[in-house]
Amino acid sequence: MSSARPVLSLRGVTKHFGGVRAVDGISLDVGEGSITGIIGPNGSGKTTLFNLISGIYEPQKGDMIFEDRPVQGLPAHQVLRRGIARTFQNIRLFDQMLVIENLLVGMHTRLFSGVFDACARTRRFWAEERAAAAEAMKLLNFFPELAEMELQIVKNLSYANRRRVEILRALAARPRLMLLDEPAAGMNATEAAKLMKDIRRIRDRGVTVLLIEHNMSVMAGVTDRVMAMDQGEKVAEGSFEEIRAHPKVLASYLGSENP
Amino acid sequence: MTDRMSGSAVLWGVPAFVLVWTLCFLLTPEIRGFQSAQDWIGLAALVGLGVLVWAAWKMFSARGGFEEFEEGTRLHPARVGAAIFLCAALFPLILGQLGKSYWIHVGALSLIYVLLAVGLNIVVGFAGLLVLGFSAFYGIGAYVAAILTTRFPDMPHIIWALIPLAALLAALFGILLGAPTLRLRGDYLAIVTLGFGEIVRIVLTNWDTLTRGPIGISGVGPFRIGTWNLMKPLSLGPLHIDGTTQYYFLILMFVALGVIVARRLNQSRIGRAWVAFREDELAARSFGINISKYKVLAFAIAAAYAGVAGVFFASLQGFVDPTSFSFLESVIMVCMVVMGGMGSLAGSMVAAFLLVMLPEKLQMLRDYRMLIFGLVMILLMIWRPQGLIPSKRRLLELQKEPVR
Repeated sequence: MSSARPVLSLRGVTKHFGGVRAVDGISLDVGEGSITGIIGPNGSGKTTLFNLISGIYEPQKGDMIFEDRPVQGLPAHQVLRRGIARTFQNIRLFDQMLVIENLLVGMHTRLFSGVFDACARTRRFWAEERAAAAEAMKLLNFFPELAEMELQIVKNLSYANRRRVEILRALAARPRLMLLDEPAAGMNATEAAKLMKDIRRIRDRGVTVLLIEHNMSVMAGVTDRVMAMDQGEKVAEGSFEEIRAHPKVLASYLGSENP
Repeated sequence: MTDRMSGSAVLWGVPAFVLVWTLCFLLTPEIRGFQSAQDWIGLAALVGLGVLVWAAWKMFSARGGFEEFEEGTRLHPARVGAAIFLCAALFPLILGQLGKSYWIHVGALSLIYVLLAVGLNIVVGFAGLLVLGFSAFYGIGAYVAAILTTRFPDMPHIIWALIPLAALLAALFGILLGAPTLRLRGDYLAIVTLGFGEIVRIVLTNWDTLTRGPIGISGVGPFRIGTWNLMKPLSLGPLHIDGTTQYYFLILMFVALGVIVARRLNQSRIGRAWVAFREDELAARSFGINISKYKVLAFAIAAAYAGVAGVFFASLQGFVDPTSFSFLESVIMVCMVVMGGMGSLAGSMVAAFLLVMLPEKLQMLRDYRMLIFGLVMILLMIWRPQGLIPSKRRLLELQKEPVR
């Protein structure tokens, strides 16, 4: 179960696109060290909520408090610096770059070499690059499937491995909160079962996880708490078992006319 | 052991082959209009050289190409660079002995375009920002040199200071162009930069009191150190080096510096940031990259390259006028980057050489030159969209400090 202190608190977070209420007054507490799931039909505003948290969109209303400091209105690159990293629903890797380079980009904010360091290849540059590469190599061990793939161009990797690299790129930023947007999309049952273990391993590294997922066995298997969304609004919140039996959730999924 | 042999054979063989081929190419008889036997001999020689390149390439790639030799550290980038540099340095010396000083001039001009292409590659190739007004920065550099050396004729050494000054001024204009266009990308950015290029050209044409308008500025000062004027022939014992050759060497130094800087930037955190937002801007932003900062940085650095190239151009020609910085020049520079391979420094260099030398050689086509040029670009984009030498991301060798 989620612990007492919430690492992320959302209060009335709202984002409208024209007349569309993509996210409408969402409040949620994400407990430190928890795995919190978000479910909801397509178009219910789950990904928009992720885009709000990660700074890609700015909310029109509401507060987002991460580790006791507001993050609403911060540009995306500063949100990452605060300790929130994410993956994307449709994998967004740097396709032409090497696997290890993708991880190094994940470390971007933790490196400091400037133009001069790079051109003169100062000692600081070498020390920093060596340490970063060593850390990236170590991180690659997180997924044994990626063994010896560090110098592959990401574009040439299999779908599942691309998902893995995306998770590692986020881990490389050493976040304290990780937003996973449908990590099980396109995976079969065996792969999804493996993914559940991986998500728990991410949490065990001390990273709080916020997870969007359509795969209900994954949701059932890993989440401490689940929030259900429909048409931008929070429908229910509770344990997965509670949510699954919730009449409003059933209505929004089955499209019942009179709940 | 055999691998090592092949490694050094490649290391020296490839640049040597390119050097010999280029010399043969330049020394084939001029083709003027297919009226004399000489024209036909010239054509036959050109075709022969083309077949030679094709055969050499087939043989080379059949034996594994560069991949094969990369394992053995013999092909360390620093060594490859040194080999190419040496061959490039031999080029004007050989031509000088043969009395072909015109081609040395073309060679020096090619080097200026190499500098331009390498600079443009930073912003177009690495960062993926299509800039169609690059000749504006080139023009700014050239006019800085032309105006200041003619205004201060009694301070001939000022031109050395103008290299960093032109770089800085061009970089400043790069920032001026980069900052307001941060939100633009692709076609929109291309159109804005095109507009910028035209503005600079029109200002150069119309600001008579400063630039002397379409008449241009002549008598641009040469580089000199004390009484040594780099434009005047130099006798070192038996060795006779003419002015253009001295310029060639001077520019070659800066090309080497420029290539090293671009390469090192590419293989650093900064280069990774550029390529990352080229590949996926949203993901790059989400991973802590301040897009605005790196876009402006790419603009500034690229513009500085063009500024420096402009100073050399003005001083080499001794004359500048606005027609040298037209839209067509900008397009040709982009062609160099695209033809060589986006993000590929070696590609930019090769393409810059080809696109300067080929038109010089194909004078007989005159009016059809641009037609053929367009046709070649179309065919190349169909058959080899990744460019002549496609870029390949590599991880810096971190185990040992380089050299030996």
